[in-house]
Amino acid sequence: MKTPATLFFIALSLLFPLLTNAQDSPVKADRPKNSWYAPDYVVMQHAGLIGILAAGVGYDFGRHDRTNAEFLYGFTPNYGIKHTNHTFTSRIYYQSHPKPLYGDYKISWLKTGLGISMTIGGQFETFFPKHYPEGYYIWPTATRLLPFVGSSIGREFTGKKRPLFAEFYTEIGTADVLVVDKMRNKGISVPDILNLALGLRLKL
Amino acid sequence: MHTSPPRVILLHLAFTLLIFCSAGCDFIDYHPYAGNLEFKNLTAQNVAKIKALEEKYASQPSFQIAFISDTQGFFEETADMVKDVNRRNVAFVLHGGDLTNYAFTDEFERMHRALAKLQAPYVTVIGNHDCLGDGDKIYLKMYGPLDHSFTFLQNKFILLNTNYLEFFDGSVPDVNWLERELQNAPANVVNTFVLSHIAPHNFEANPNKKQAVADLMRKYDVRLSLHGHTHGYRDEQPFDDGIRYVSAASANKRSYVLITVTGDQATYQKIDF
Repeated sequence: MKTPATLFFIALSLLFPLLTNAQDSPVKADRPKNSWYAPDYVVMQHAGLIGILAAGVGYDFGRHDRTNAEFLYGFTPNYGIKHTNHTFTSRIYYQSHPKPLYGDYKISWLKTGLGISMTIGGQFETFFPKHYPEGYYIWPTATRLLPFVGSSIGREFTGKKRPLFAEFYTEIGTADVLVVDKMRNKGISVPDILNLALGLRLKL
Repeated sequence: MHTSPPRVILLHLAFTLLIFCSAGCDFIDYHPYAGNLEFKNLTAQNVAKIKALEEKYASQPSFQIAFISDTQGFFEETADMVKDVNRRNVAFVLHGGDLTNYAFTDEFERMHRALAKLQAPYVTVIGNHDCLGDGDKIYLKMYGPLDHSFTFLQNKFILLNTNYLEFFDGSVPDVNWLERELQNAPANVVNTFVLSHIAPHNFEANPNKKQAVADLMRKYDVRLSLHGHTHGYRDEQPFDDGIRYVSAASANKRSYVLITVTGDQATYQKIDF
């Protein structure tokens, strides 16, 4: 019962991936997924207000797996003056499609997203106790919103050896209240509120 | 043309570092309250600088102190205030607390860089905002003890932590320490100044120690009780006992207090900048 027109469209749709493959290689194909609950990759990060070293797991999803969600635990040493800080961070970000750079290496020029961190400990407040007058402090000390932009360089590995891909990234980030303070006072420069983070992602 | 793989990553890293280093290289922050401090023991260092000035001022009939407060986040105004103070011949500067908004390590360090532009040494007392999170521990390492004192010629300066709500166990302010400091003043001391962030009669001060503090101020005839916290200039005599309680405004109100000490007298005036 097929009309020539539908046959034409079926043929075109079958051909289309081959045609695009010819120019764009199979890189835009989504990677084979693990079970829905199994993490797609592990991630480690240095600095970025979430710990001297943070590590965790990540999931990629969305169109061509360019959207990522990560859950990290990070610690910051006490330097002999206080308790070690334990910080739990969730991050969600979009990463641009990797473009060839050198050899097997590809670069994602832009990754941008938002993290929310929570540092545990009695000295950190999410909601201030009732003994403070109303509005005495507005911003929690335990939780920070951490917007960031960055870029990454990585490569995929052929074969069955793990990791299946490795990626190194750098991010420039800031924090909610630092942006508020910068907007309130001209004496605060943009570099004053920015910080740098370095990280590594590995698909196992 | 083959580029070895790690070089690609190193170039990427070098490029990012280059961008940041052009902006001052202070770009790695582990945590808002990270304990890896750039500056340590500033109070002891600055008190040593003040003591070194005694010789110069011993032969002079009077000297001046700039009393500033609540510079938290007000970097533009603080820079102007520092320039104004530097135009005057002050022996040293007292800071009434609230160096920061959230007590972040980076905030403390940026504020110190701003205040380090003062030509005279500055000494601080801890403010309530400086106690947030791990702020009290950062302050302790970066500046020094939360309660401390020093003498300058025939004058004693007592700096008292009065941030009662942040240490909500009733221990603040330490009235026993205050009394010991007042009692144990060297015999040649003719003026005592007590500097604390929150004045005892403020509704956010410890209500159970309000009278005890006021009684000590009267008993030891404290020349001036100096405070911040209210963000406005105040000149009060709240206990009607002849003891004056003077509050410096926050930096964004563009004023501070200039104190002139002559013998056993201390006069003060509000300076607008």
